[in-house]
Amino acid sequence: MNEPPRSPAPDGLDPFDGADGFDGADGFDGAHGLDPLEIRASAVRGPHRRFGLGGWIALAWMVLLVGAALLAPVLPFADPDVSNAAISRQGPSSAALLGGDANGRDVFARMVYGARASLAIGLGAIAVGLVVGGALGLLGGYYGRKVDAFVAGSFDVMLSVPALILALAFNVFLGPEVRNMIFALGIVAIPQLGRITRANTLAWSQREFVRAARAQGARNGRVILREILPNVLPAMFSVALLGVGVAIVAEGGLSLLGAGVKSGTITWGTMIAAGRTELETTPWVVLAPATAIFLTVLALNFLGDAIRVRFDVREAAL
Amino acid sequence: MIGWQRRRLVILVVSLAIVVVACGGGSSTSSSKSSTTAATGSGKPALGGKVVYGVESDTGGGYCLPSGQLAISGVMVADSVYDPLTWPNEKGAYVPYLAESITPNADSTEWTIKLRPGIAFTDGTQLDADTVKLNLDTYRGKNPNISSSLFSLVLKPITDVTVTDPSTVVVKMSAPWVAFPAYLFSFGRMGMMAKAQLADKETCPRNLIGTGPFKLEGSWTPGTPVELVKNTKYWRKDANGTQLPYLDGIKFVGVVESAQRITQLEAGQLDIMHTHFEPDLAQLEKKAAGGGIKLTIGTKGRENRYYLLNAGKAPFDDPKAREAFALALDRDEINQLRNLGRATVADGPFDKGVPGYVADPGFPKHDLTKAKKLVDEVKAAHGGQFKVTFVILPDSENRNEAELLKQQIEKAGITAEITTVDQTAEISTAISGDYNVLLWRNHAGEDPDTGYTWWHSGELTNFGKIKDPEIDRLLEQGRVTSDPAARATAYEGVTKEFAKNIWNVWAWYVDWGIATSPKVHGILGPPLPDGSQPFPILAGLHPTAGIWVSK
Amino acid sequence: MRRITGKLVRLVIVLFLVTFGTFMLIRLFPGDPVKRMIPYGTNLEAQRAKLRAEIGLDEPAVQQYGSWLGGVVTGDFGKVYPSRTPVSEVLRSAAPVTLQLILYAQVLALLVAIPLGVLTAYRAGSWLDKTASASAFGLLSIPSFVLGLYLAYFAGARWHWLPAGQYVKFSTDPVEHFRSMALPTISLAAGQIALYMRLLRSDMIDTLRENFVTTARSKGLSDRRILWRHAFRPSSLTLLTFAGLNLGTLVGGAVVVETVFSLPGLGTEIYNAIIGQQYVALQSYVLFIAVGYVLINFAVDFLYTVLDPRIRHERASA
Repeated sequence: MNEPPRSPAPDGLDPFDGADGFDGADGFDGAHGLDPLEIRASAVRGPHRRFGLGGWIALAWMVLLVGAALLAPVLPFADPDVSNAAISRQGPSSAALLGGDANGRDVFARMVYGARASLAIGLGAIAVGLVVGGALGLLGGYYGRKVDAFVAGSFDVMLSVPALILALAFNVFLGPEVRNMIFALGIVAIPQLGRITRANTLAWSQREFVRAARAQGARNGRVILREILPNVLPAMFSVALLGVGVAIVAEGGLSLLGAGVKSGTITWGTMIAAGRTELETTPWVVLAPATAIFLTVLALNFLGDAIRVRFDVREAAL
Repeated sequence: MIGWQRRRLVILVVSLAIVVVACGGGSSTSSSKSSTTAATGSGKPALGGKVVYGVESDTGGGYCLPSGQLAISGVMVADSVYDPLTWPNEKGAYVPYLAESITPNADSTEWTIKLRPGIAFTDGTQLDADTVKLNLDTYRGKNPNISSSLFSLVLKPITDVTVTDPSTVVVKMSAPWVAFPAYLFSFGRMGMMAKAQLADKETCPRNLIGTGPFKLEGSWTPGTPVELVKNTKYWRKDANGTQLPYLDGIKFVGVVESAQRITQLEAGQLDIMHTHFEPDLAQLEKKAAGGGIKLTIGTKGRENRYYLLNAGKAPFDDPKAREAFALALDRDEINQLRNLGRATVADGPFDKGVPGYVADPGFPKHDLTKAKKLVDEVKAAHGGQFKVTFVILPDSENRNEAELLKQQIEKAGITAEITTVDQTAEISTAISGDYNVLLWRNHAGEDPDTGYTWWHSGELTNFGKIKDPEIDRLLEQGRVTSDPAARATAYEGVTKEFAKNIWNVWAWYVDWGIATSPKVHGILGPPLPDGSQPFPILAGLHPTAGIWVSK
Repeated sequence: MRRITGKLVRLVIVLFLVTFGTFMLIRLFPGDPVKRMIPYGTNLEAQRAKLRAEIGLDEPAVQQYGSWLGGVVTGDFGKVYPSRTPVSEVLRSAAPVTLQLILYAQVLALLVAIPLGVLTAYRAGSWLDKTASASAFGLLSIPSFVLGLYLAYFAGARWHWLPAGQYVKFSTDPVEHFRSMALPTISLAAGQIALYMRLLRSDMIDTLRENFVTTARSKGLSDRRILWRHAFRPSSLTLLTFAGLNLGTLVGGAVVVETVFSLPGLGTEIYNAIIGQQYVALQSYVLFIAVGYVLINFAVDFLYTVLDPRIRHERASA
């Protein structure tokens, strides 16, 4: 296997190396080999070089969000399902931080409770993608030949359908439950995370120390787990964080398309979908979850990039 | 890339782009503002002009009327293109419209429909008895070519439709049917169609041929706005002898969001709009007070917003469960949150002024303590379970209401789940009984006999699977009695029986508002052929033949 | 040549899998679709049997697939029930709207991103570069439908700058057409602008470091000439290829943005099909998008393969 020629500059982008067809020898199989996460990852290169203030703010937001979501039942938030006529259709006030919706429910409370489901969906989907996609990518990248052809081929086929459409189809087919949403988005995440794992595995597999380990007779499983995986992990995690953001956005998009979780479960997406028709009269109902999504994606992008910088993830992914 | 290659690529891409743009797709959801040709005379209708009418949705099912179950948006279009045989006047009586006369025999088992002479469809064919027979037979499901929907169930009592001469049709019933003329209207859904439209099942939904004030010109895709033009050969004239309709054209555009309809009305993209959403009606009233728009709200014979319970299976086959449900609901709070407290809470199916209305029939008032107690009793009798599934349409209005109901009954210990389906699936669900509660709107108008199909045991359209011998008896009585006082008493009995057995939970009477730009007049319609005024806004329905625009 | 045949073979395999997958969609949904399409009426069973035959649900699966595919190839995508409108008609009406949105978004994105990308690469490290990069980072993080909601509310409903929630055909009124498409296009393009700008910037920075640039400078060529005629040209190919590959994400984004702005395109039709449980129609929409995407990807890939050697040659000789 040839090592793909490296680009000269550290943050350069040379996607057109080693485009030599369907033997899957390189991570970048011709122009159509890029998947949405890779494009995203390459572009989300923050203007900073160190963790910096932005990174800390991002981290703080995520900690705050996850904390609030986990501890919501014990924290002094209003009940997100209870109707309070006094705040019904009222904007932000002292009674309700972010106003009340048409049913008189506290929008701030709903946003926090919505975080629970939305984060669960985002994290769950990426977890599925990481585990399944990662495993497949490792196996394909390491073993090469037929295994890799199968793995790379499957990824290519799955990437051939626009992600939203794939998720939509699975979601509609399976039904409007949170776990089905996780499954559907997880399926979409598998090839995206798998490709990056595979590309990284390919590059690392050719390194001297790996070859040495194999020459010394170490078993394949051991090599994968102890030599390759730890080196591939940073790249995977970096992209995974971006992926969580993408999955949360996807949940929002699917809800707007009518394929969201069922009525009664609060997610940011369903809040937006439900409040959309009264956008003009009660905009806060929609703008609150929308802003929450924005801030979360922003924070995740920051963090994902920070990890990439911290562990100096090489462009072998691309 | 090499210069010439790149140039070629650019040319290719640009030409492709031009094709995509010019091919243009979709259908404009707005159009230019209405214009007028005639002016003059405050009060005297001017000829010409077009209006754009914003309705709740574009009708996706098409207009093969016997196969459809049109909502108000579709009915407005249907009644612009087709004419039904009867029309309700402001007193609530169903008078002959397309028909010249509709006369019963002594015991109302036989009705003779005499048609007006010289009326033609827009394809030139005459409105004759054969065509009317074809229509009626299709509606009652006797036409193998075109399937009939709920009409076939509702019109079951008809045994025979005969043509006695080119302009007379005799309809025979299996039993006396005093309110038959109301059924010939069927809330504007029973227009008369030309033979040509009924001939081809494939094109029937889109090939609209009627006798109405407007007609469809050119092709139309269901689910998109309908653009109608004046039917120059319309059979009706106004009191001064002027040919109706006044307008040159009318376009119906579906705008799902009520708030957006208001915005578009103010911006001039719409000339007329309707809504039943109380917060928006409040907003419209304010704007009307300022003179920016005109608003007319229908205050008579209002339809009922209610919660249809499925008594055919657990838990609502148990009367205690139904009572617990009604007690747990706080209909005043629902009215407050959903309608800003503006609507009138209903305790029975009929609006004030309709025979059968009872001021206080004893419908259970909100009582959480009593509800909790009953819930416990129900749970004890049913293995600790009291769970209901709401089946609703997916729009946010319904969703918000269902979530409010869920939250209210959960306080009493009833667990709930909400499932969303679309309009067609909702009827399918209703028939199959795959639900516990449906959020429904129905029972508009003046004749309470229309409740027969909904409440009489054994009827397929009795979605709630109501089995109440007393209600059955009273409905049968009301159907055959021609004495108005006796009928009223019978239907009052029905209301009281509903309050006792709680087959449905009545929520409120729905106010429909028609808002127009100040230039639009005549929405309540021209006088009916017999001189009386048409019913003023029947659950949003009003004639379009009399609309005119001033300069 | 062998590479091209390889890609063709792959194309056929992917098309087969995609079409088969969407075909199976309708048969995998829970419940009986025919019962849902004809819930009541006279001669119920007879009507349903007729419909079942019409859709092909009474044949064995493989035969169904064949006849369905045959129908699709000849343009028969089935019908929407109960209006019996041919789905092809709906597609003909809705697809151009979505295509227009995607096209305008790409054009706008490129128009804005190219000058910005070149400029920031030229002035790498300056405050302009840092500001632009930071803004790009922010824009990348805001989901297109979230931006759409903000724009619809502020620019549309509050300040009435541009219309939101209507669509005017180009043939009806060109000016109104573009006005009605402005907000949706901006929503969709914003993220792409950021993406393309950063990609172009990266690539240009690399190119500007290469020998031929120093040579050109020493020859006395103006900066402007170097930038646009020598540095931009190879980078533009990268950018265009990215833009082509990005169409997949754009399709997903366009479909969701459409529902935010009530544009009568494929997004709205998909929504209607899901809510109305019109699985025959949904199948066709999914198919249309998926196949279109596959073909475009293949075309971009193929285009690149054809042009690639010349690029390498051009660069090497420069």
